[in-house]
Amino acid sequence: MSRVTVEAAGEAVTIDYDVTPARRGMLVGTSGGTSGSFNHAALVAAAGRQMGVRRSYWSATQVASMVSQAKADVARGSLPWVTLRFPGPWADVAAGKHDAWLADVRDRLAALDVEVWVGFHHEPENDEGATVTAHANWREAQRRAATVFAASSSKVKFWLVTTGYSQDHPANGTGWDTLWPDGAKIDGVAYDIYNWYGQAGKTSWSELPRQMDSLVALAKAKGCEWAIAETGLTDAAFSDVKNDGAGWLGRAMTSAAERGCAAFAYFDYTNSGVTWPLIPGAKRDQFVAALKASPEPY
Amino acid sequence: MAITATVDLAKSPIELTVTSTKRKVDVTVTSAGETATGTATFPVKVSDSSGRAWTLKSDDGATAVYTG
Repeated sequence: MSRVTVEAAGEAVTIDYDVTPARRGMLVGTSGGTSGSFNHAALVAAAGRQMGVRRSYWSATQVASMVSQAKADVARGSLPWVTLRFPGPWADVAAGKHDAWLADVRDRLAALDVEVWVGFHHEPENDEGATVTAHANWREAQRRAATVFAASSSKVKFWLVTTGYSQDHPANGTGWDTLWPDGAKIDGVAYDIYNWYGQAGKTSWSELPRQMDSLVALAKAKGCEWAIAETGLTDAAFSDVKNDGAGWLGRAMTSAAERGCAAFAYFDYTNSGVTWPLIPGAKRDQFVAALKASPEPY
Repeated sequence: MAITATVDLAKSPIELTVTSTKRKVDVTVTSAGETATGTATFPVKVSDSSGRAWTLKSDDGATAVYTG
């Protein structure tokens, strides 16, 4: 809840208002890196506005830097969506050994006094071993973290982020029947889903509207928001005429918005040479047009 | 109360509208033996707990509209 006070001619009046995601529509932005996605400055300049949402990634020892950037993002009018690694193994987090660290992250973000999204150890699939036990530990770590965040009222929203593919094709506990922390206060769930067509000989074609089906159903069943935390298509996919690659991003964003997606974060980054980034060209122009037409977060 | 304020959340960006019947006042200034009359307008001061930056869109002295 926000409160605005206006004063004029010796009189004053105060009113409360609340901008919620449901009223706001789908935020558009980028994900990638700590200091920002590859083309952040160029995209902002081209759109003539800031990102609606800006997802960034941090280690457990980078909390101060994370908060500093989140504060700057808020000042610019971008909703920070921060993803951190836990300071220890999932089992230790679940056992409460890092509650103080979690509470510190919570309190620092809460002090910003605006809506901020946070998630811990995204894409956990097989990171601590391809076993049901390992993935159950991730679930319990998420439960513990969500409980710490819920213990103090704030505008910080708690998100779970996975690849989506491993939940639709579960093995060794990567399905939501193992991963979801029942009873914990989860504000949103998001997937990192891509179209890899043309990368290293990949010939399969992925359409986001179809990939979103299970995510939309999951969020509805759990009573939380959903979003696209990372997505992208290769330059080869964008250029593919047979599958109308040039229309892929538009189809994805339109479908996501129509189905109540809270945020759509394009992965303007690469750590493996894949051509996701939004370099000057038609792919970037489409993203910039969508960003221009999207709502502000605050 | 002559001042009112509303926030329209349906607008994008959202809008704050402030109305007041007391901002405009008639003034008379006398200097060097001559008198001038006119209208002065009290400014509006806006403060927001969330840090939202409200930008003035229009102001006719009775109704001021801000976007935020």
